[in-house]
Order: sequence, then C-alpha cells, then structure tokens
Amino acid sequence: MTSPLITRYVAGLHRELPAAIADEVAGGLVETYEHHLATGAGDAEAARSALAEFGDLATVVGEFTRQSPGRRAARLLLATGPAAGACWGAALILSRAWTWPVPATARLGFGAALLVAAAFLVAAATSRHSYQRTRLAAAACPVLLGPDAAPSHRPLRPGQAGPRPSPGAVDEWSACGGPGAVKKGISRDAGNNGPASTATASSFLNGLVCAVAWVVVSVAGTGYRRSRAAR
Amino acid sequence: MKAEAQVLKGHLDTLLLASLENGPLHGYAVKEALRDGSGARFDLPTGTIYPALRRLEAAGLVTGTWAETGGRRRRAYQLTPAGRRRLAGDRAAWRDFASAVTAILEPAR
Repeated sequence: MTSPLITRYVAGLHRELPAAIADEVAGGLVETYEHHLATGAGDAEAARSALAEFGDLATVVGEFTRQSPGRRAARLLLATGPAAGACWGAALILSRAWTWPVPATARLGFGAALLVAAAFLVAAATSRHSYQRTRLAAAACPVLLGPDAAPSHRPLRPGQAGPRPSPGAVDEWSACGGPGAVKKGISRDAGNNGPASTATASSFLNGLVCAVAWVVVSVAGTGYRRSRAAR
Repeated sequence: MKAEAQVLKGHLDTLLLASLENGPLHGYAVKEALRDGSGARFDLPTGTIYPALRRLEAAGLVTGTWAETGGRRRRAYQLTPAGRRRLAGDRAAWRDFASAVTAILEPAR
C-alpha cells in the first residue's frame, strides 16, 4: 500500500509516458518513498520527501519529451525538408507539372496533406512537455513517404492501349505522387538525366529517412499505447 | 547554488558513466552512488537521472536490461565498450582541464 500522493504521481507517469519508461521511473519513485519510510518517516512525510527528491512530474515528463524518438525524427525531417522540397520543385518544373491532367481536387488534396504533415512535424518537433504530441511525427511520415514510394506505381493513362506508356506520356499517378515519381517522364521528355537522377536519389533518400523515422516512432509509440490501454 | 547545478549538468553524462564503471546499477542506485561519491554535494533530482540514462542508452554508451531482484523489477544499466572509451576520454580531458585551472588559480610560489 502506498501513499495517495505516490499513487497519483505514478498514474500521471503512465498517462504521459510510454509503459516501459513509466514502469522504470515509477519503480524508482516507490524505492525513494520506501527509503524514506525506512528512515522512520511517516507515510505522508515519506511521500512528500520522495516527491521533493524526485522532482515534479512536468519536469520528468519534459526531460523524456525532449529526447523522444518522435521529436528527434520530426526535427530530422524538418531539417532535410527544404532540400527534399527543392528537388521535388525542380523536378516538377522540369517535367512541366502544370500540363499534367490531374484533377484540381487531387492537387488540392495532395497540397493539403503535405501542409498537414508539415504542421504535425512542427508540433512534434517543438513539443517540450507533451510526449504524446511527439507522436504526431508518426502520422506525418506516411504522408511524406507516399510521394517517394510512387515510382513503383505506373498505371496507364485512361484510354491508353498496351502494357507500356507511349514515349512522352504523362503519368497521372506520378503527377499525384510527386517529382520522385516522374523521373522517367523527365528523362523521356526533356532528355535531361541529371536533374531526374538527382530528384530520384533525393526522393529515395527522403523516403528512406521517412520510413526509418516512421518505424522508430511507431515502435516507440507501441509502449505508449499499451500504457494507455492498461489504465 | 544554481551555478553549481548548471556546471553539474554539463558533466552529468560523464558522472553517470563513472558511476557505472564498477558494474551494473539501476536508476535509484546510480543516484545514490552520485550522492555518496560526492559527499552529498551532488544530490540530483532522481527524476532527471532516468531520462539521462535513456539518453546514454540511445547513444550506445550504456545498455539497460530488466531484471527482477528482491521481488521487484528494475532496469539495470551497464557500460558498453563505447561507454568505457568515452569515459576514458572524458576523464583524460577533465584531468587536463583541472590541472590547467589549478595551475592558474594556485600558481607555484
């Protein structure tokens, strides 16, 4: 049986942090509390001393938040974002993206998804006291990963016969999928392999970073979800 | 003693590595080792020890493993080879720094 003060603190740890971290920190708090009990302090006094020695909940959660995988991944993606964006932009211009027959709603939807992903990354990267907020990075990764994974999907244009797109054909899915996806279009249309290769390489690297970040943040979040479910 | 706390924070990683030099310890024991080893001068908030240990683990300088001792599950940390190398480097750097400061503050007469 522990003091209500300790119980409340431990509940707060489990509410704010992933299960494995909360368990470890809670164990340390209970040990501190028992240490004070062993020195002859009363229950309430031992609890107060343990909490004073441990530090307040916000400070402890803040320390873990600042080094959370989600926050680090978001910062990495934001730092590499301008370079990836520049490559996307260059490839879009070189492949004359404005001529693609992409519905306006698809363009708007893709743009909105990118903006939301960027907002999620900013929220995760700037979180200082909320571990939960850093998990927004996990939601942003698939959105950023989508355009980079698009090169593997090359559906035919509506009405196009044959298994292979004709030279110079515009790949609609690629248009929705971003510059990384239009590398072949650039090569055929513009006869310029340099920018296409750069865009493809940066797209691949960006995709790799996003995929790794997504996995890391998702794995780190598993414990958090378990912790919430256990309560 | 805010200034001392800031100085201590700058050396926290090295102090944590040093406290693990003689074998695995769990978070609370690390805190006790720092307090006892410093003659009670370094009495850090226990709650800040755990994030620091996790940070060292993420950097590959320590490894943490769950173990049950006395009916209680605890996460014990121990130095990795990289952690030992880092500690040796930090220790050498500290000796150089301390001897230089001492030479200025207490010049031979």
